[in-house]
Order: sequence, then structure tokens, then C-alpha cells
Amino acid sequence: MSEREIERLAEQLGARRAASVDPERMAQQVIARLRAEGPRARPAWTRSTLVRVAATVVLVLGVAFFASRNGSEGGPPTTESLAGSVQGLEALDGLELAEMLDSLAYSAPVYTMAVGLDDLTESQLRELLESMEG
Amino acid sequence: MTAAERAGAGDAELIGAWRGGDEGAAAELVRRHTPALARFMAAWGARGDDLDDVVQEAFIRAFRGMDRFREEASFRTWLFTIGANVARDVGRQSRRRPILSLADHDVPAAGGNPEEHAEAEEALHRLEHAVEQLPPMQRKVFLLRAQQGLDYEEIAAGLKTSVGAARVHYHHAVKRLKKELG
Repeated sequence: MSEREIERLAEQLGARRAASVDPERMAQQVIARLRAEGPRARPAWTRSTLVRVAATVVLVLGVAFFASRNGSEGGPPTTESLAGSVQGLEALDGLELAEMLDSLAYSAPVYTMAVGLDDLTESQLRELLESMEG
Repeated sequence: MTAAERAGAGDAELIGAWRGGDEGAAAELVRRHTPALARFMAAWGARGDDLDDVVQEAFIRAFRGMDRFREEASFRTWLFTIGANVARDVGRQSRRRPILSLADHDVPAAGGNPEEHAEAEEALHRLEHAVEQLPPMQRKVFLLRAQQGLDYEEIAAGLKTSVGAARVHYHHAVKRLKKELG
């Protein structure tokens, strides 16, 4: 068999079997699997949004924790107790975090709900620290 | 992005839309590349129901690993390389070569003469078997070039090798096939 003949035949390799694979059905199956397999398959924007929400929740809960500790015992919180709270949060999904926030009904300064520490001005930071000190 | 916009969009735009959360863009990419990927996987040795499964798995791995797609080669060529990896993994798991049945053979386009048709069918079947015996790199290069019609630059980019090395792999593959097929 010549090289030319091999190349001509090679163009037909797999053609009949491939014709049995329906592109529309394949698209539906792939999308269904991407949905079913969850966060690993989700686009990056979804993951980064969740991370941002989780970071904000940790910040708000930290403030709430500081405030409640100072109110009830008058002493600052320990590093260990804060670390324990954050570890517990990691096990929650987005919905559970939202429900927990609702249940806290905590009135933190408004800007802590939507921004990170880096975004605060000096006066806002001072206000936050003062609220943590009671 | 509307369905009409997706249909007219290039792969890069669809990938950008998918990264932005547009599920329809992913579906369009699958519809667009399924026929070529299925042909590649079938020629690699996937049979019957396995063909659907390996094509699906290749797409899933591609979407999961989209962050690693650097657009050095086309999305389709990248998909082929993922498909070859899926086939390798499936082969390792099953620890056996797929069994060919008569219904699995590809029937070549031939004239009305039954004798010519039978000869062409036999030749295609022999080629199919011989391609499956090639070392993986030679098999990849041969299929990308002879079956998919890609140029050496695209093949080299997709396989992360040089154009010269791609040419050498192709030369060795054809030499081996000629020897095998007589």
C-alpha cells in the first residue's frame, strides 16, 4: 500500500462509528455532568464570588464575636477561639452561611457587609476597631 | 450571548463566555467539536458505547482544566490531546484491547462493484488495526495529520513538540504502516 493510499484511507478512519455520536445529546450530557459535579467544574467567577462571600462572613462574624465577648466578659478573644470559629465556617455551603447570617441578626457597621479590610478608609478602620473594643 | 451569537462566535469567544458563566457557550463548543473528536477517538480504538463515554469524558476534562488552556494550539487540537489521554487511561483500566466486531468496522466509500467494496473495506480494516499498533506519539501525529488534516505547526503546538519532531514521528508512522500493510 502506498503512502498516498494510506493517507486517503486514513481520512475515512472512524467516520461511521463517529456518526453514531449525536452532538446535541453529547452537549446535554456534558452540561448535566458539569452541573452535577459541582464547584470543581464551575467557572472561576462562581468560585471567586463564593470566596469573597465567605471572607466577608468571616469578617462580620469576627466583629460580632469580639463585640459579644467584650460585652459579656470584658476581655479580648483568644486566637484559638477565633480559629475554631473560622474552621467551623469552612464546612458550610453558601445557603447555610446565608441562613446563619440571618439568624445572627447582628447590626455590624454597614461597610463590613460588602467590603474587605483593604477597602476601608482610615476613619472607617478606626470606627471598626472602636466598635470591637466596645 | 444569544444562541445565534454563539453559533457565529469563534472558539476563543465561547471559551471566554464559558469562563464568565455562560453554560450555553460550553454546549456550543461541545456541539461544534463532537464529530471531529468522535472520529479521532474511534480511530484511536474506542468502540460502541465506549465511544460516547470517552468523548464525554474528554469534554469534561477539558472544561475542568480550561484554566490550563493557553491557546498555543486550537481548542480542537487541545481536545484531541485530552482525548488521547482519556483513551490511554481507559486502556489502563480495562487492561485489554477493545474487541472488534463486524458491526464496528468502518465501511469505506466505494463504488457499486461488490468486489471493490469488499477490498476497500478490508484495506480500511487492516489500516485501522495497524494504526492501533503504533506507539502513542506516532499514532497521535498520524491521526492529527492524515485523519484530521492538521498542519505540522498546529500538531507541534498541540503536542508541545517541535515541527521537526512532528515530521519525524509522522514519517516513522507511515513507514511502519506501509511495512505492516504490505
